[in-house]
Amino acid sequence: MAAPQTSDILRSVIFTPFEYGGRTKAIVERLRNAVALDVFKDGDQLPPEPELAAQLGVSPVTLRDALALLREAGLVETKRGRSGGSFVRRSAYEPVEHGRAQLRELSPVDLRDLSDWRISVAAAAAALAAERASDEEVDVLQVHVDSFANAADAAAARRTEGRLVIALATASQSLRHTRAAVESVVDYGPLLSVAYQSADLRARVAECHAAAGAAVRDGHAADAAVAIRAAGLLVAVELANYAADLSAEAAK
Amino acid sequence: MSTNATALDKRLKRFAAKVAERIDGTVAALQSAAQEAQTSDGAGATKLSHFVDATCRLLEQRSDDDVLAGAGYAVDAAAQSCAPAMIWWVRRGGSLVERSHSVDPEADSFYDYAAMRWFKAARTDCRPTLSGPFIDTWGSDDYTVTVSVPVAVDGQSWGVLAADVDVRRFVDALAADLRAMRAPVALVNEADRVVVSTVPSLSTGLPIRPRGTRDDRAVERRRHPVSDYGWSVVVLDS
Repeated sequence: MAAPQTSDILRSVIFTPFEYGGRTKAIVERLRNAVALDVFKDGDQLPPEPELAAQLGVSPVTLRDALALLREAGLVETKRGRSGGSFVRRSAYEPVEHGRAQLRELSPVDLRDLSDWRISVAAAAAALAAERASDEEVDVLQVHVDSFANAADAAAARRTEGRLVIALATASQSLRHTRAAVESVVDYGPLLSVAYQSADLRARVAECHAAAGAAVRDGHAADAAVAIRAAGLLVAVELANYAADLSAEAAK
Repeated sequence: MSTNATALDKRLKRFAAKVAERIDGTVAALQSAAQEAQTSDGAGATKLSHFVDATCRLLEQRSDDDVLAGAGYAVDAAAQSCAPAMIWWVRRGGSLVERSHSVDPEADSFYDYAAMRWFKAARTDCRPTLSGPFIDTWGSDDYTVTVSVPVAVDGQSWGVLAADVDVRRFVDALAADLRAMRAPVALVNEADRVVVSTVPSLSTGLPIRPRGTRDDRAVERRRHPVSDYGWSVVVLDS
């Protein structure tokens, strides 16, 4: 029997071939995100190296380098012998450190671009959801809005907002928006682990979410998009400032 | 009522009956799988394992039914005081593949089945339930209609058995009957969301009216229920 498969969208986001340089780092990033998102559970065995390399569209040498970096970070453990292979060690994953590392790598323009993209995806989904969501879907959105407002830490905030964004996308009745929402949750998640350490930011974003939820309920597409955009901009500014502090620290 | 209207009503009724029959078939298959799983073993310790084979067999036995995309079982964790658990099979080409779902609430990709209509409504209302069309994220990742039946033994809820209908194939199979209607007609779910319609701009998943305009006092539509599944066939404004 073949191994259980996770969500197809998630797999295709994770296993998209890389088209440009910096492949080793990019693969480390992708696999780290896969661990963060529970695509791989603690103790899961990774596919055999030739198979994984083929799935990612990289040479076995590049993959081996990436696995070595993941081993160094404690995220992967390799056992030799008959029952050997590479196994995922989820307990070694540190979300904030992961996000800080990503912020150090991103130029201000790239960070802004990533934030703009994430905001566009969520805002467009919110506008469509305001026209198309059923009452039941509106209730589900409200549950996620409330969970975010009650989130006690960065991890809970990141998780609940991810669910809110994906719920908006599914309520928009668009498969492409849903795919884009999952992608943005994967790519932006580690940054949110950094940004949402701030309880003040969480509170301000929660207000925007509440406004967006109400606008969707009332069928006001433009208001829903504006509120979601406002939430995303608050995060984008927080991250831009955080990244500037990191690079000032590094320059000392 | 004019003769034309009566003729249309007859066609609507026949169409509704045909859709109901299709759903009834899936419900019956699920119920016999539930029966099979319950009688397979008296011990209640590993309730999930009873259903692993039963759901797999259900898909194997209906291998000619290509509208059936997958089937599975989810444990009623609240009633059983255990951790959430779920088994799901999907068709991939000619074979069956197990599909894993993250049932860890702490995971970003948590599949919260207990909050989903196919599980929640089947359990609460204690009756066969029809859900969708909805985009099943972390699940099928596509438009899905799910047919589900509660499994209870001696009044105690065990879980929910369910099967996914491939919406595109399901809709294709109904296209000819719809065309014969020669009127603006839609098959809608309990929230007036389109399953399939004769109006090209009202495609699967759209509400027959946008949210913002729903309070408008619309003329009561001519409607025929699809058995008691909550779906109906409605005549739209032309």
